[in-house]
Amino acid sequence: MTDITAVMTGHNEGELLVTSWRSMLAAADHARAAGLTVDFVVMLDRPDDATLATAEVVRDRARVEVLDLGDHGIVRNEAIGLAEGEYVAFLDGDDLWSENWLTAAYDVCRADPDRVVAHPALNWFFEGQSNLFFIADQDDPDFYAGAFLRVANPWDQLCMASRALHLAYPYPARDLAVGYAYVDWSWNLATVEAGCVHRVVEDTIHFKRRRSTSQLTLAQAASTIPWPSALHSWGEQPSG
Amino acid sequence: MHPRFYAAQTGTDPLASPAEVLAHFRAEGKAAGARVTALFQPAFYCAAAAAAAVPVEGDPFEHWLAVGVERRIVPTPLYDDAHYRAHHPELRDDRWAFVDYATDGCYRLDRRPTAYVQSYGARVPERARERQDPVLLTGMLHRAGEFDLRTTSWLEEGIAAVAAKVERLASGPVADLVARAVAIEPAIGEAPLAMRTASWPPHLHWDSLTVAAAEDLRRSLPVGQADAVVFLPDDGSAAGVDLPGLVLEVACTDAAASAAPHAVDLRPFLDRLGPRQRVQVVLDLVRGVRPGRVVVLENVLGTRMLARYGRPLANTMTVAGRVDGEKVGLAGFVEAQRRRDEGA
Repeated sequence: MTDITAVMTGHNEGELLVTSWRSMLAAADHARAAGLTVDFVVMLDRPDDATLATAEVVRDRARVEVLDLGDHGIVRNEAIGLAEGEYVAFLDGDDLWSENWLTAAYDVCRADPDRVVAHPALNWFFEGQSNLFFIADQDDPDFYAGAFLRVANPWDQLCMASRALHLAYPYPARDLAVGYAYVDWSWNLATVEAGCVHRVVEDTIHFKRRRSTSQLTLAQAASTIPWPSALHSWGEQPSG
Repeated sequence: MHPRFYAAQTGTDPLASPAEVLAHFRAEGKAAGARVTALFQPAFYCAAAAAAAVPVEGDPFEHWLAVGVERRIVPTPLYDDAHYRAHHPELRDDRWAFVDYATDGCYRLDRRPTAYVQSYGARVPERARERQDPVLLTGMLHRAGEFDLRTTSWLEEGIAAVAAKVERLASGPVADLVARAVAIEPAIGEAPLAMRTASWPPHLHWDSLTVAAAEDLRRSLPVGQADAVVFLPDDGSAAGVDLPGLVLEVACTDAAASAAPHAVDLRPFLDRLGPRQRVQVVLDLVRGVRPGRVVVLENVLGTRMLARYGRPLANTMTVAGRVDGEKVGLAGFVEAQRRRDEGA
């Protein structure tokens, strides 16, 4: 069995896809040097012509799927269905990984494959924003993950977890018509509610290109909230 | 001179005048090691003075007043001279920018003293300048019971921790990883590290105090679940509704405070938060107690919350109320808020 399936998702990234692909290959080389096997899946959801054309350069190394879903959570579920790796890692088609990401995240996930979701230690934003977002570990004693998750989302979807974990907890569909979006936030609520643990992988970075049409921007503009979770219920949490 | 900060260390009146605080400091506080200003941290000053080859003898605060000010030695991690000047180029070149921050910038939300999140979405306290109550006190006094405020605070510890994380990016193996990424995508390295803002939940994160307020509210609530939540009229007029089951009454103003068995006064939890953060707290409340019905009666905050989030809330509860004397449903709240926003 393959150790890791690296999944890239694309939509309208055009030539930026090549940059992300080079980053993915560098991370895969790092993992292979550590004795791991890595394969690639590229999921293009309603791609524009430029993105479709650009994706041709990866076809000799990756399985490329073209979809018509319009929902990045469902795209990820489709990718998990196709993945042959024991662990699955996601990268947006305009972002980059630090080259140690796959290797280091694999080590963290293997400690508890049924429960651990691995996140980078840092989201390094570029192009349009220049902030550094250090990510919280769920077990940071100052963090109070349950309370924080009710109000804000500390983790995005560019994580690694076992394929089994992903199959057990699929991403919810976005439903803007009824006001439920924030697929990543909803998934984090569901996984924490189920007893999964979101771990930070020290000394790893995701370099995230901030574009105005990000999913977060769309969700905020639509005045949506994450799907209901038992974590929202005040009566089911520890009292003072 | 920051009376509320001083009061948190000494038990004095947080509304005392600066002159009263100074008198108390001279009589008692100084000997007890209390800090009379939030913008001075003894250990930080001593380290900064040492870095400037200025030996500190005697009391660090007095030394700063006598020597450090003239040498322009910044005495607090809450302020970075280069960052502040870079973001506020309108400041006069001949004046130490720290003076601008200490006398003006610390009472404003549009001044950024460091690269790190400090305001936590807090609002400027009422009569902040007059009371010498800087915005950053909200972060400094967060979880105050866990710190010896004479030496440090939540905000100062958070800044130190995040600064250490940023410093790790500048050299060693992590810097090498960044360099390799820059080789693939040069745009990653366009903004220098020193000019990047940084955050880390919960230590430095814009939602941290919102989360704390929501959690404090949850823990103080007499019930974990309610059949209905009623946002009481801000002007204190009678609610005039009779609902079955357990009804949680929510007051957002002095006038609306209620003595009903299941009433909650939101003011202590929302006092220091900005408008967006207040909405987040009441949204968490309404989702948290899982009512079948939400009724908002002539209530500004409730109206704002339903105008923004009423649509998804309406999937699990009925939403109704009164705005400007008219009975309204979800669409009415949206329209009322639109009118208010246009009017503002």
